[in-house]
Amino acid sequence: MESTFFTALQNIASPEVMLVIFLSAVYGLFVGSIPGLTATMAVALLIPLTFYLDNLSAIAAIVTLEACSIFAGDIPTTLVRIPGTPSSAAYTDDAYSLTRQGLHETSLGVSLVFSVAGGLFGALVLIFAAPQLAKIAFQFTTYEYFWLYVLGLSCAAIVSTGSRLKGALALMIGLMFSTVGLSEVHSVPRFTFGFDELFTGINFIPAMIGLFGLSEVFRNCLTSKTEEGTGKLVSAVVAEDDHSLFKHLKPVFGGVLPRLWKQKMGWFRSSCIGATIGMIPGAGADIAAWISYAVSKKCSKTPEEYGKGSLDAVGDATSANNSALAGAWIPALVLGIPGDSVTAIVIGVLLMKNITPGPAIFENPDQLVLVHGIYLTFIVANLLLIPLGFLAIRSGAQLVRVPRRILMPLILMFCVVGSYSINGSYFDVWVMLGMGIIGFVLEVFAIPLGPVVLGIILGGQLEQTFVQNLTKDDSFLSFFNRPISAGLGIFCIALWLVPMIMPLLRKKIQSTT
Amino acid sequence: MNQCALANTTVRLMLLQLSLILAAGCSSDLAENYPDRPISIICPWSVGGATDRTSRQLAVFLEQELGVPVNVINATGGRGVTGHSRGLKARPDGYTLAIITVELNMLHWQDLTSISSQDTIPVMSFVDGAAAIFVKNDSPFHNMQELQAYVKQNPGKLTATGTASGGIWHLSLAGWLDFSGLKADDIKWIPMNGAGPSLQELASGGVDLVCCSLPEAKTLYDSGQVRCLGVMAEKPLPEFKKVPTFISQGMNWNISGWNGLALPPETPQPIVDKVSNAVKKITSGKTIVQGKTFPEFMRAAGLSTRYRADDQFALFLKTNDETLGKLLTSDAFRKMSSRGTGPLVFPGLLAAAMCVIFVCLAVQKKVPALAPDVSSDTVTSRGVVNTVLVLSCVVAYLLLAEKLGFLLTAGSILFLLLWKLGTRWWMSILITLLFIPGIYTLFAQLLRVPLPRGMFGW
Repeated sequence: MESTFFTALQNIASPEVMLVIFLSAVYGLFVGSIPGLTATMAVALLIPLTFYLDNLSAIAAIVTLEACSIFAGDIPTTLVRIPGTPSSAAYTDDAYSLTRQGLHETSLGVSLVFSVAGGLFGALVLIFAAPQLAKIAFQFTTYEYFWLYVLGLSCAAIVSTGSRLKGALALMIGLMFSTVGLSEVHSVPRFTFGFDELFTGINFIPAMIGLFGLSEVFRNCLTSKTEEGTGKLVSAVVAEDDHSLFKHLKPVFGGVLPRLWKQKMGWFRSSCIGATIGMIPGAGADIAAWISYAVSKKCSKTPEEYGKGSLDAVGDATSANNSALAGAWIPALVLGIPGDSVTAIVIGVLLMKNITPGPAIFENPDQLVLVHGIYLTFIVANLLLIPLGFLAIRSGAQLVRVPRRILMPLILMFCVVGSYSINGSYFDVWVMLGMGIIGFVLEVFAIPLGPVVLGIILGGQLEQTFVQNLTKDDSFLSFFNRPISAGLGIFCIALWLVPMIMPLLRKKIQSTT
Repeated sequence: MNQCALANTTVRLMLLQLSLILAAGCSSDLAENYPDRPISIICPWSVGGATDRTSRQLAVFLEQELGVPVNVINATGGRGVTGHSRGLKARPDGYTLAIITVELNMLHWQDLTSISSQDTIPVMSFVDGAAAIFVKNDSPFHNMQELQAYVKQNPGKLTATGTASGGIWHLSLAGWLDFSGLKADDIKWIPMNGAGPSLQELASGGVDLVCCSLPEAKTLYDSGQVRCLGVMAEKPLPEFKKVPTFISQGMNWNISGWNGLALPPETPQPIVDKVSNAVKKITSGKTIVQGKTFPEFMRAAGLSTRYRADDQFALFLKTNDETLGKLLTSDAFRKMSSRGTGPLVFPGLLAAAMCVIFVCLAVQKKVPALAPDVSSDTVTSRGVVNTVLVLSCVVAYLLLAEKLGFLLTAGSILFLLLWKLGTRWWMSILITLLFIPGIYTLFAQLLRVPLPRGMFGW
């Protein structure tokens, strides 16, 4: 055990591996911060390169890339309100509100530090508990998945700002969009109106870019007055005449460490939620972010701030989605079952290198060295994220200084190119345009957009598990047949019913006393 | 009908002639210089799967062989309809290659698309993954006979999965049942998207059987978490010698999923030859990347291959199409596909829930609660003009980009918007000149997104 660990340490400390890690970190930050380009896509682009790399470097590159790009997704989320990754959609409103208050650098600083903290927590879980925890993946059948998706969706609807009914409405709209296309379970085209392109359904990435990004462009154009159009946001934290050495560090990191200490329980709770959900194949960082956001709001002393620029919300949700990343590696390494799309690619790369993921790699000493190397990479990558993320934030923050009349056309360009690039299809750009209009209209009616996005992402899987369960057994009671599914199911139902019944109960108690 | 077909052919011929005449000026050097810009491979399945792995390996080797960048685009979804139609309906200039899979021979029988293997120029087949039946390690079944006997005694008791209803693995299992004289729905098929989730479901005890190819189950099989009862191939697979075939268990039933490379119809012959020769060189192991040949890479990835070139591949496509067509149009299969929870149940439930929410909202009178920042006070007439301008710019981009290319379209749009939103004209030009080539380099060169090139080729 110890000897392999030290061998791994030696391997990873070699200049080549370190160079690979450094370059992939830069690449990951870069790709992650461009809307429309996902971590999965970035990793897929890396595959041909892995042919030329040795085993450890190849996997280290993927780990680093993933860890960095998920944080980088927060940068466009905060600055221009285009979620870089679906998991950022949970706290888009919070992060962007902070930007409008001029606190974008503080918000990103919190994102960065909590991402790193969450990522490190996830890495520790992976290191110390992987073999014991991996079996969780084998507890989940379609029944449990159904309730898990319901839980994630309910959280999204319930925590969204404004009335709970509007949150539910947004959720239904999102779910409705997800039914467009060829139904995976029935192989029957639905709502395609004869368009071949609609067979694929509505891709959530262009939808997300449209709903958040384009609708923001519309709103800015529509409400801009010429004088206001030239106005720019200034950082609220730093006085212009501050010339000290910490001038640059202060807006990003100022007060973050005390905050981390103050919020340690929130961080611990969110990271646990993240790692656990990440471990379940098919559930990923996006569900983790929403659920931890909901829990965080529930436990918060200031729940009214959530959705209007709460740093607690950003911190908690972002540590959850980063710790979910490492969680997804647990079933991939221990069982050979991919926890998400990135680990699916990793398994492919490992197979190509003649390594079969599964219990056996923990017994073969050579391969164990590689596993330890992966652990160490998670830690190195997260630590490396601090300086590189800082640089990314500082350079990204220049964006908000650009006058809106210049920024808006550029954002529009990125919306168009970003939605095109995910699949190289014009149809996705049409989707983005349509969603931009819908997003704008929904915002006018004060209907939250986050649940719409999650509805589109999870709707297909929700329906699948629903139909699968009913195919296995016609009765609805079978949804509660297994212990975990029963527990999750009752919890979900309570989540919706309790707030409805509570006022009635309270009234009754008042009338009796 | 006949007349219609005749007219159709005439139109096609005329179009062909027209394009030939148009292309005559540059076509000779077009084929000669081929390839002089990046090539895209359209893969109809998602990242991480066997077909994606094949496409990406192929891309690396083609890049070496042809000397230009080769990118893989995953056009996923719609059970392969999207990817196949995109690959095969692409401009036939040799810059878009299509990966085709067994679904090409199935989708048209299921009325999901009109394209079939007739609409391709087959180049080479790669993977040939025979279907196999898997059970969990603690399952009571140890060979196919036991399973067959059990199903005979208890029809409808067992559940199986592996892919969507009507997918290739479903077809393999149903075909075997039919072959054994059983009814195709004597084993309940639980539709799932892909072998990965199916195997996880099997290991969690959610289903009794999984039908998929051996490489897809390699990790769980090697670690002993699932067992394989038999593989539907003529001979045991070289990578999995221990797995018995169906034939060795007295059942003469073979079926497999495959993938291959094809070109859109009407691709000029010189280009077809160039691609075909390059691919032949690759599959025969003459091209070496990083000290390894393509077949070596495929073997390492655990993928069983069967390389059939040009005419051989075309012949295989034809017979395969007939076999699958027979199965898919058989009564047993037709009947089965139409049972269970219907496709409109879920949308129906959603619609009902939406109605309830609307009623509640109406009762609470919360609908008119509008966001404060978009109201008659803040919206200016200039703003409305600008918004309409933004909208029409996106539409203009969508309509013109393919013809004029990214640089020209995006450049004019960006300039127009900057100028109209109040930036001075020379500043707008400066920003446009700075950003558009920048975005182009970033996406097309560094990130390998094939941005539209238009008629000028840039």
